[in-house]
Amino acid sequence: MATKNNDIGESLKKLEAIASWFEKENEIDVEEGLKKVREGAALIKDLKSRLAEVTNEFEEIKKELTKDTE
Amino acid sequence: MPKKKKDKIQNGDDGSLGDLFELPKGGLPISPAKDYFSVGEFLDILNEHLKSEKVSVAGEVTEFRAHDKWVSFSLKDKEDKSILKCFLSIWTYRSAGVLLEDGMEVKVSGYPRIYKLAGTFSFNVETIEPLGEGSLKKAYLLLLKMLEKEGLFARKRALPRFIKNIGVISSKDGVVIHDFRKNLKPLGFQIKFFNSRVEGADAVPGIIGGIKWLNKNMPDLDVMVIMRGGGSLESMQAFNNEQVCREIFSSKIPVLCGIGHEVDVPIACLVADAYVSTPTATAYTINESWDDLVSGLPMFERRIITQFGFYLKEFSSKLPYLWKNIYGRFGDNLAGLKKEASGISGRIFSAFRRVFVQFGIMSDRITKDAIRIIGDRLTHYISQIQKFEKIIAVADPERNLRLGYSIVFDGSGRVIKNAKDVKKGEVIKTKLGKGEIESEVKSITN
Repeated sequence: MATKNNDIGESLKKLEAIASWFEKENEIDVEEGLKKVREGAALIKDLKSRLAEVTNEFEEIKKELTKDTE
Repeated sequence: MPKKKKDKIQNGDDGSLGDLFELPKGGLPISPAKDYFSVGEFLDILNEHLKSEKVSVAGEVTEFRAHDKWVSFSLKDKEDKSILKCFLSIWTYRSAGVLLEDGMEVKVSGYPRIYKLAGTFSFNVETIEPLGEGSLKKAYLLLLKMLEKEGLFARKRALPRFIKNIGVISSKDGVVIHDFRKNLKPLGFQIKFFNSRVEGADAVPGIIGGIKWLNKNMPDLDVMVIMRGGGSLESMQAFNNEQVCREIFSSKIPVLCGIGHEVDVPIACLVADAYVSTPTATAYTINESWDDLVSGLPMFERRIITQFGFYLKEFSSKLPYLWKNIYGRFGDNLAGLKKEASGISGRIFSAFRRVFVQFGIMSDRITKDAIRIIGDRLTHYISQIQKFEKIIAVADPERNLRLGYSIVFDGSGRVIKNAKDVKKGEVIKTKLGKGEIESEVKSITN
């Protein structure tokens, strides 16, 4: 479903933003840094669950009225 | 109902070749009033009978002509040079999915027919099949050229990332579908399988039916996969068929073909959005759609942890300056200094604690070095601050006053440290832990 794909893409974009923020930042703001780390941790945890092992499902389509191909 | 007599028709003037064919028994009733047919009636009767004589005939294509609404060619017997004139509507020609050219060996199926207005015997073609590698290759090249010219090979849509819903058109029998399923990662893929023949007469309608069905009933599929194993050019015909290729191109769902081939890439593959040549590779392509996450995630984790580590290092290296600044700012205001000092140490303590907690949530693969270094530095500075706090506490005049010590001021408000600094009779002020006393100097002792 499109929404699920988008979610993951969005979360990855946010992680990229957080990583870049750290890499660019000159002013050291520990509070802000901790906030970003917390955000990043939450995103990473959620994305990890998306990668968890889930059994694939296989279903043969029962066609109602097509030319019989058997 | 009067039965028709069996008629034997002689061939031509020399009568030497005997019967062309025999009219079957039964058929249309003849009006008893006449003992002859009109030409039109006769030809109609013949055509009725001929229609039931469905047959396949093979020969070489000659005099191929494509007109606006119809196509004609003569099928020639290479042995005895006899000719069968063939006709078909342009629509039937396109539906057959095979392009023709003079010289090709083909098999046509259909039924014989007499074109009344010219009185000519011909063959009404319904399907066309190239025969032999030469013809198959020729048909392949013709279609390749035509579709390439139309631009059907130029449009490639990107397969979506993080694929979840997959439509598969393939044969239930054989190893192809098993290899595919076996090699998909367990990421919760939802596979909808549309069974179709991939070879033989049922392949073309089966595959086209599958593409149409999936586009109509499951338009939200992330990708449509069409697969078959390798084979000869002849067994591949469905995948070099014009109608199948056009159907693939018009699919709204992106198409990934996994079709085995040796030399010539099946045209269905060229029209699809992507192609590989084995079911295993097809599964891998789908798995790959998750790469951004599979390899991206650990990379992000590393980057963030490392960067935050540097971040804290930076911060902790700035601590002595921070300390100096604060000391400089408050200077004599010892109470303020003390307050600020505990504030800082409090913040550093909690930051330190939270860093550990955050790293614990994020992963087990912590950059232990980063934590250790930061931890060491922070511990060092925290103990420095604690030392200062002690010093401040001890130096805090308020504290000493509470212990019973007092401060004595002279008449002009200066603190008296030496008894010699006062004169007898001078009024002095004593500040106690609580309250003040005004007194007069009575005597002085050194």
